[in-house]
Amino acid sequence: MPLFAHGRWVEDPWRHLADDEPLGDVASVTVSLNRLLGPEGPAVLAHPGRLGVRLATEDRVESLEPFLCRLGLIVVVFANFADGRGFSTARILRRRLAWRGELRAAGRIFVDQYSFLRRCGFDSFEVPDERVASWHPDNVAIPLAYRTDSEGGVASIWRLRHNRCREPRP
Amino acid sequence: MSLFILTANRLRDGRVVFLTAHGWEESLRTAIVAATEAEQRALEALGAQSVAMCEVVDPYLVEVEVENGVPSPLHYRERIRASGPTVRPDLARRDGIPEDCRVSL
Amino acid sequence: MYRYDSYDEAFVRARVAQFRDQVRRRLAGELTEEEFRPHRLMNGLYLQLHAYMLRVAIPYGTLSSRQLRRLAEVADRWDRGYGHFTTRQNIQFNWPRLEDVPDILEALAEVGLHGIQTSGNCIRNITTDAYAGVAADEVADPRPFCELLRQWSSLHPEFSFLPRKFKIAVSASPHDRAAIRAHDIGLRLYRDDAGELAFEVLAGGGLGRTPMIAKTVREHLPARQLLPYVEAILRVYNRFGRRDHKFKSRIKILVHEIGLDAFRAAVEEEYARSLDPEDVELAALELERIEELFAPPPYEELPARDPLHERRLAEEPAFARFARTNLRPHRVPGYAIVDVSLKPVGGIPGDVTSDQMRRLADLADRFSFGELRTTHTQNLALPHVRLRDVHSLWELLEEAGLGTPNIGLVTDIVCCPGLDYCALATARSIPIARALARRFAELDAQERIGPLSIRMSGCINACGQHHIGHIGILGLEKRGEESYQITLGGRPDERTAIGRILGPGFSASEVVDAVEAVLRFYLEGRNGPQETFADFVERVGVETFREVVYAPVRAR
Ligand code: SF4
Repeated sequence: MPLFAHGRWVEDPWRHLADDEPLGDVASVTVSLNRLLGPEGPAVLAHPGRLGVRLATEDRVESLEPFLCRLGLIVVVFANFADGRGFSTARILRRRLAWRGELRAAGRIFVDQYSFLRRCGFDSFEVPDERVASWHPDNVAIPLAYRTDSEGGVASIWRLRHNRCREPRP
Repeated sequence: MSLFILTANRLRDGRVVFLTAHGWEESLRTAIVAATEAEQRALEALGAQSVAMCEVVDPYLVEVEVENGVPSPLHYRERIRASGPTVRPDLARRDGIPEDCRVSL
Repeated sequence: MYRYDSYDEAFVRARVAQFRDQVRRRLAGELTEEEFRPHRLMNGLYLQLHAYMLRVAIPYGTLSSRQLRRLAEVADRWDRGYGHFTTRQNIQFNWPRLEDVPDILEALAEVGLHGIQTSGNCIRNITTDAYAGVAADEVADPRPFCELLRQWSSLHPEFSFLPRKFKIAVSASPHDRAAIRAHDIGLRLYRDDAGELAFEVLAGGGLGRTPMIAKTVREHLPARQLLPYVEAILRVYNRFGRRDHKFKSRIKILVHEIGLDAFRAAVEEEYARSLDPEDVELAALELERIEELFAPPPYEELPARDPLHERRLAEEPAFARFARTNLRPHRVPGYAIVDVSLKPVGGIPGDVTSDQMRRLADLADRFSFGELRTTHTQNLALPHVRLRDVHSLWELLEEAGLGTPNIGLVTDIVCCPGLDYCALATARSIPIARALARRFAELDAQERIGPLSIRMSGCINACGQHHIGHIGILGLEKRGEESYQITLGGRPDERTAIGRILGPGFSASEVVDAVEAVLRFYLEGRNGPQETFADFVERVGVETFREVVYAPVRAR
């Protein structure tokens, strides 16, 4: 799947394992949350390489808490365009669980959601093949937001108004 | 056998249109009437084509009766849709069906 | 009132530019309708029965004369010379062309208006008491909180793809004029024992297919904690609200299914864990800034009573009647709130022509510091009128066909567009509202009947809020015909109640007779005029009405 991160297309260094695929000796792998929490969990955690997790929209992200320091990547897979649960997942990870690592959006994501995704804390995007051609986030982004979520290069109007800027004025 | 015509909304302006031999028109007077299952499918195929060409949105078949060569929808919803808001006769379509869609009060 | 600064302007303009690009992509075939629909909905653009419909937000129902003039221009230039005010204080245009909508939105942006989030599964326009800031019985002006909520919810990155639409209403008076208990979140502002502003937070109200009254989640929330608490509710809803079935995805179903206690526990936990002091501090600063913008207009110091006004009341019965029905007490001595009825007999409830809009804008400039309000009963109000000016204002309103003295009476009917405009409707509602208004047009009889709210919807979605009408009417389809179901016992006020179905539906030609039979029974049976219709129904019960209504109506 084409990967978009930090404003450009990049190679995905991660292997995303299906639940029945063996861990092998791949350097960087992701597994599903079920697999991590299931009987195979200890083996997964003992895997020598980097470890990531893929969350489905309905997964409860809180259950990742004990493993966060072991993880190098968290992928949130959006089931469809209208299912906005993944936005809350990201928000909880970034704000409440203070996750600083890579947070990736995958699944049925749209370029028009790019600002929302960035503002919730996603920093890389697995873009479905058929949407790669129309993936021009700069054309659709709105550079301003009221709230204080200034992740994603979006300036917070509230910060600007009250001189709490962390970013240059537009 | 039931009779059907194909309706949709025009993409550009949203107006209600009907498929005629000359393309999509705002009046249903000359709409193509499908009398068989096969003709209905053919209408639907034309509708899908127009959707793909960004001419119209949401095409669907409307059941009609035909009197003096002019189709008239059977259901009150479709009669209102074809002729305009019943509470604003000034905005109604003059070439729509001269139907009394009014509540008798 | 609130005025946009350069940031608000830049924000709305960026949004218009974004939508312009989306429309271009749609017309060029780069976006399918399925892909485009969520974008147009989140900008207030629907595809209705006859055409597109554009819904423009009027945040918390406060409108300047300049904005109203611009709405009139939009109606003339891009629509068909009129607009329709809704039960959520917004305005709708029924005939815009898709290709014109970006220009319309740009014209609106110039005066600080937009269609952002007037549709779609997101946080909708925040509504409040139409008399906010001027009502004599209010605790504090709730609009700064509404504006804070507007900003906070605008293009909210986390809550733009909720399970379903989400409506918030705020009230700051003991009398609820915002139907907060019929909203997903209802907020009641009050002063606590320490004299501090606090909110009672209610959640899980809503009408539609499964009407429910909102329940209290938090009795006492310090006002400055509003945003984090509302955010906690939304987060719980966004995560755990049902997404498997459209009819089950409103927050009311979540609250109902998991129970109020479990819901409250989830919200409180989320609130406690996610509270960010920086957010709270910034919101407090922003609230202060907004409050300054809502500073009252330069009122004159006037005596509480105006002799000239009182003499006219004594001498002119028609004026006295208008004053009885359309005047509300103002918190500033010598001023009044003047309601402008958009329910003339024979008219379409909530519809205003562009000429009337311009006249109203002029009247607002002349008599009300350039300010107007939209009410959730589809009327307008001029919020700051000197008592001594009320008579001149009334004469000018009469001239414009806007002086109908029927606020809160039987012909002040709340009515959704129904099948005359709405693609989802199962029956028409406007023709019934008109027929009812004609039947009860006589003004003395209206006053004799007293306070009465008839509310009508053209389908189960209940945009006309029929459940909370004293008399509710729901248009349905039955065997290929329009059929109307009557409910009694609903209340739209601080004792919000859902009406109960009287019995089998009536045909279009019967429904007016049925309402008349209901009212006749009330007039004959009430304990004097001080027993209102709502109280009477509470006392005698809905069942009692059955015999007196069906037999005579069906006999005709
Ligand atoms: S209640 Fe139904 S008919 Fe009326 S406006 Fe809402 S969706 Fe349309």
